[in-house]
Amino acid sequence: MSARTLIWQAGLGLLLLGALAWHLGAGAHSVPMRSVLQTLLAGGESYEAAVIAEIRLPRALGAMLAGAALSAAGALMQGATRNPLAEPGLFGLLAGAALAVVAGQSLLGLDAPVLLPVLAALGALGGALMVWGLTAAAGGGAGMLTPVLAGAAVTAFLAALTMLLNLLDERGFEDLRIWLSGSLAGLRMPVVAIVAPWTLAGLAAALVVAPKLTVLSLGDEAAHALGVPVARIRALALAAVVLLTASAMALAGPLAFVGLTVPHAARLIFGTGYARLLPASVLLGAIFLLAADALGRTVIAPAEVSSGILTALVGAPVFVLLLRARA
Amino acid sequence: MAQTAPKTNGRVVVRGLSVQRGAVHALRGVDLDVAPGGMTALLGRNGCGKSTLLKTIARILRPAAGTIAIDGTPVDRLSPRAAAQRMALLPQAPILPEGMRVRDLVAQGRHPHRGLVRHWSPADDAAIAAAMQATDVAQFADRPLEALSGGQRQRCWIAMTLAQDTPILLLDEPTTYLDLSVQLEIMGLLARLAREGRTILVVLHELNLAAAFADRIVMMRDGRIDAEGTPDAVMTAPVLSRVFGLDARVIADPETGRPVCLPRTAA
Repeated sequence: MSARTLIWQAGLGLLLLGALAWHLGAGAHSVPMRSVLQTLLAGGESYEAAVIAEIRLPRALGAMLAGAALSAAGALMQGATRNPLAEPGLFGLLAGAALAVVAGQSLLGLDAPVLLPVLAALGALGGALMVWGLTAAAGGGAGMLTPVLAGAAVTAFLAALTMLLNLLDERGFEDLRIWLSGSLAGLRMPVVAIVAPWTLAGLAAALVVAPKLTVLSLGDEAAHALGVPVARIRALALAAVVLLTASAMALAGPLAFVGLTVPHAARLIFGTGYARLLPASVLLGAIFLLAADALGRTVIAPAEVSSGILTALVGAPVFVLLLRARA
Repeated sequence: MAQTAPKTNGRVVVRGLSVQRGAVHALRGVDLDVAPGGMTALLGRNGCGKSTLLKTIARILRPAAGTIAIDGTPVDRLSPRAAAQRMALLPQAPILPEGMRVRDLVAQGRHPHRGLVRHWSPADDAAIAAAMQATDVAQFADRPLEALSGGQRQRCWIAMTLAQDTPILLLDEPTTYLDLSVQLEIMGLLARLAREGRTILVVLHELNLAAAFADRIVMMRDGRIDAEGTPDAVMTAPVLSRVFGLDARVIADPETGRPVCLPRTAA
């Protein structure tokens, strides 16, 4: 590992701590950094201590986990499909997960927090398979935009179904409306504790697959000849992507473009090798969502801008830049 | 490492090999013996099965019938990693990963020698350095691949297969789309590697290139081997007529004595 890489990683580590401190301190009620540290280290009975422990800490942990999960999922998808535009949102996984969660809650009454990631995982897998099926039906010459178009169609269709379910169940709609805009508001520790193992399992699988994805970038035949079991690696990557997407959905709802923006930013710093790119995306994703969430809580305080809105505002121009760079 | 490639390993034995591609019988009962060390060229018209044979040996395609053995071991009994430690493949159209530097590409050749627990070692560094030296690409080590010419890039890919440190090297049309002088340079490099003890099996389009550099030539037609032997034995007017539908004279290169095919062009 080069000195340059080490310096970047140390820098990202410091940036993560800084973003975390900002996130915990900022908000409708601003808490000075000294009190933040005091609460984290020693606890306390004060109002500020309660705000941090009950509200902001779970939210910060959720932001780190969801940001890391979506970024890792995006990097995995880009490597496994060799498509630079691959990410959970554009490829239909977020829409599938959203519909599954809404349908499970409003039709089947499955609203226990433990079931949230399970429903999201099933939906994400369903969305991915629909997009994959549509892309395969478009023929072998499908370019990098074909799955994006399939993703757009699937997303529009599944979002319409989600809206329909919401119309039928107005009461539940109020609870889900904020979640469907991609927000960490109201996240509590029990949910974080339920979802964290999903994220960590997904990240562990992602780190195992990562070096193989670099080999896969040379093409299936070359990867095969280099001893990579191509089909098995793709299946493992998909499993990790489903776990990661499901955990991010359960924590924060659909956050668009995080899986696109963060890995490409990490590529600029760490290059194309996935063994380095994946851990970097995890760190950068945690920082990105912490910052987006802290910003969302401060710009129009005491009201909030959902993180999903901010990530889309940053991500859509990145999408355009990526398209232009390859035109 | 080029210098230490073992001379006694790398025998490929193919028996009764048949491959089905869709409804097409791409190979119909091919028997082939490739002795360790030396360069064997697979020739034939488009669709004759030469690439299919190479890819089936490399385990990318599955045979419908028949066996392939490397040094006595059937390849279908090898794990993907074990197979990749015995043979390296340069596909016809490998993908150029955007932004990848030459050294990082060559380093991918070490993949079959690494495991979950076994990480980077001095042996890896040595193999990469030797591979880059053997192909004369060390001066490009830190450049991105897309900054290089076609011939330089092809040498980098060959360096990657050398870093894999296998007794057997399979190449699918490594000279296609290159200038003639670059084709000669690549073939010269492969011939040198063959002299150093590697078993090289290469699919070629260019008859005279094969005749000038290969130790043995295998002519394929309709999924079968039509003729096989030294360039002198195989490059004959009747074989060229049968295999390529070519009306040609064969003369000896005045300097090397190797056969040269001259197609008749007069009406």
